[in-house]
Amino acid sequence: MSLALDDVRIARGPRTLVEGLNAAPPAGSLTLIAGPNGVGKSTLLDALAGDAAPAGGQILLQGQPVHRLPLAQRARCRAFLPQRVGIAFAFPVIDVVAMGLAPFGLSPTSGPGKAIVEAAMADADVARFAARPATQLSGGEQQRVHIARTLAQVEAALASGIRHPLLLLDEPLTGLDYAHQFALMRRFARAAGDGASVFVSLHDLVLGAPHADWLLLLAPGQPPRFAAPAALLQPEIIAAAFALSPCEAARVLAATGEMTSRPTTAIAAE
Amino acid sequence: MASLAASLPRQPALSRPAALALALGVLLLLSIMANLRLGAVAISSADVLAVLGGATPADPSAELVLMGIRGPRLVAAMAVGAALALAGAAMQALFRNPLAEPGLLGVSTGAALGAAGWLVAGGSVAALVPAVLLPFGLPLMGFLGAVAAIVLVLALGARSRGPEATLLMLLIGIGVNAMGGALIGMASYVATDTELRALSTWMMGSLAQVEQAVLVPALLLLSLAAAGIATTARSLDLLALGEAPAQHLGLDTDRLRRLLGLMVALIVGAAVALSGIIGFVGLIVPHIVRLIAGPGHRALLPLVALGGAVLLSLADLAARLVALPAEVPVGIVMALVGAPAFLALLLGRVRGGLQ
Amino acid sequence: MLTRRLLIGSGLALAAAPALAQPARRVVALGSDVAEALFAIGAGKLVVATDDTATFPAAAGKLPKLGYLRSLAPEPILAARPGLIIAADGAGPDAVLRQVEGAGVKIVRLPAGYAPADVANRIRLIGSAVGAAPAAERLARDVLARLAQPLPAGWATPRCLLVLAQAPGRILAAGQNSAGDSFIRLAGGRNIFTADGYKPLSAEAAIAGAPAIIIVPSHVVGIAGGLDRLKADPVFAGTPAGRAGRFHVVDSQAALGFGPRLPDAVAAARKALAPLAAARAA
Repeated sequence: MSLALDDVRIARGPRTLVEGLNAAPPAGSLTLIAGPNGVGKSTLLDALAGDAAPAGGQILLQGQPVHRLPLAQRARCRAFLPQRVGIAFAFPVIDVVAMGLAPFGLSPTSGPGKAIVEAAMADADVARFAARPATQLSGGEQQRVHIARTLAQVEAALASGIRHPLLLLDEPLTGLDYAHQFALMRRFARAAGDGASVFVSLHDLVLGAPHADWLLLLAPGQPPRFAAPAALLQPEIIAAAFALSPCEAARVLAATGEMTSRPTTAIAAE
Repeated sequence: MASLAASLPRQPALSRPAALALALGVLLLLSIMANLRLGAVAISSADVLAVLGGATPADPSAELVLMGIRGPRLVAAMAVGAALALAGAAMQALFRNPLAEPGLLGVSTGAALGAAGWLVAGGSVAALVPAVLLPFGLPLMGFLGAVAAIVLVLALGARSRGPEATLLMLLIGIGVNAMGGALIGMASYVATDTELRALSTWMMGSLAQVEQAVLVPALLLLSLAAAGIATTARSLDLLALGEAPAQHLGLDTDRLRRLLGLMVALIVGAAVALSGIIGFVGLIVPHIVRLIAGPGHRALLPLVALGGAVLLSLADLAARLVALPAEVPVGIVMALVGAPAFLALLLGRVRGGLQ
Repeated sequence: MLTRRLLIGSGLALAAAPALAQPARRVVALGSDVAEALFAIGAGKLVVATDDTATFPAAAGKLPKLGYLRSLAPEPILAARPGLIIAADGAGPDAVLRQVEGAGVKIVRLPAGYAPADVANRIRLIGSAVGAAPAAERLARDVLARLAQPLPAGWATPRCLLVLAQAPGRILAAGQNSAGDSFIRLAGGRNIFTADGYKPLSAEAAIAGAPAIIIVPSHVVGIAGGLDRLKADPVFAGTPAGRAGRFHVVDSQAALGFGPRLPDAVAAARKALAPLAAARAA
């Protein structure tokens, strides 16, 4: 059972951003949400996370509207990293990551909880900062700490027997350098492989396309499109969605194409 | 109680929270001994130990003073200090700001207004009240004022949710403070000289008026509210991420906000019932403890309670001794200590970069 | 043992806790009029300590001081080992006095009141508390008699104002139900300030009241920055008293303490008012 979007309409105030959105990616897949700025990706993710009801239609998780699920239950089957998360006090990095275990009552100092936290820190490459106050890190490093926290939450969900937890990430790779961007995209794909239903919104198609099982393309004034990446990564579609010239669209596609041209060897090597 | 960081290799033998707990524990013992030993009435150390140990002291009056005056006063100082510090920690967690303090929600002003009402108008009511209940008049009105203020704040903000609700709570608190201040001003205007003097003394905060009859119910309330806050330690940690992320982790922030607001009001209400308005404890103690022992609330809350007890009992000692035979109101001592400390903290934050 | 200790501590065992109740050889006087009365009836040698306001007579001024009348602390009072405390109305805070009582010290609380009968009553109560009732009775009768002296025939009640100062330029006037108001009436004047209690005086109210003379308690002169500065305060500028510079300074405690020296202050004030009372008739 996974997330199902049924004739969803997303609005910000009186302005409708997206309507007629139907999508039901199977569990254990990674859906890339792409589109230009302001098109409604964040608002859509907020709705997927259950923070607000969609302006129209339904978003169902396990058959129920997400925003109606009780807070505690929602926290166990959905991990969400919005843009711009901070930390108000100088908690050590390891404590921030351990907060991801909160919905599950797992102790971070022993047993499976400890293993989850350590693995998440390693995945986000913040293990060497474990004892340092998170507030002393750079912006990119803090971002990775919150990614680790979100990963820990998903892993804890899987460990608690939730078969297809949701992993929602809003522009998680902003401000990170290349190595971390690539590594973390692979990690998100691995979460999908483990059974999570992953939704990632990214500016950069180049980073996301190689790992996406599904692409949700939003464009201003156009109906939303949900399909396999190959179907949508076409010059006219990309040019129209992102308001690019044919030349620019071709360059974008070339870059993603370069990546996808070596799919099996590149990804299998990891 | 220590944070996860303590489980990492290469940590000192005694973690910082543990070291601070030890230091505060020692300070508290010293403060207790000093408070019992020193005062306008001369009592020897031998007599203090005798009374504590259950024997008869050489000077029979020592027992009366220690058990009837200094003892209750010391207990009140420690309890009020601990509770106000806990309330401050809760407020700083709720507003995600290390400069927040219990008075922000308007509860202190509400309490002062209740007290002003009693002091100025209570004379006419006092005639109707049986004498045995009179000692409860002022503390009770102060307490009710605090509770009324929080009820107003929570009611006005009831329909909003999430981060806006917290901001709204802050703004309503500012409004309540302003309104209450104006009403207190009015009460001051119509008050007679005696009433005015009593009101300003009360508003400066003093532990000289702690009476046993009020002490027991106040202690019960303080313990109840303190325990209430203590149970939220883990949730308070999560609040540091921001309200939305905390909700994403399953925390019902709306319910927590209401609970904390109520606990803070109970604490401030019970504290003003014992001592009038004492400021700065709720601001400085959590801030400093956090700087030393880290922000994790499982360690922070007990340390903050300990620190508040130490600070206020030492301040009360100074209040009793510094200007004999007069007493400096302990609220003034706290302000004299607290205001420079507050400015120093502020400058430290500005230099370190406001977060 | 513990129970007894708790009972003692809670003040419930007053009768069983004689430890602090010394015989009434040691009296603490709270209130300037209380101290004055005790010395006037010859019981001054019993007084061991007073509050800050008790400065008359000189012997009382030299006694150890326990703090300001309205904000006392329990331990300094107990440190004086009193057998009896005589407290004027307004001594406090109440909670502190209750704690002292709980430690076994008897407190006689005097009633308030600004009528001559109240003054006499307080003197009698003070006398009986220290076992000097006859002397107190004599003093009380004397005070009553002197205060009951009628005003001369044809006395035309002058318009009066009695002022206090919180700071230079911040003038309060005595309104109804205050010691100042009673003093004015005893001195044969009419209080033109109609507010209740002590309230800030506005220039308009002063002009409308048109006082012929302004009565100034002695302690106010210092607070106001000196008599000349007080006289020059613009709030009095439009008043007859202000223009003629008619300000009568009275001893604060004698006039407003409503103790044994009240008749002296009243007599002095009547003398100051007399020219006005006669002149208006003329």
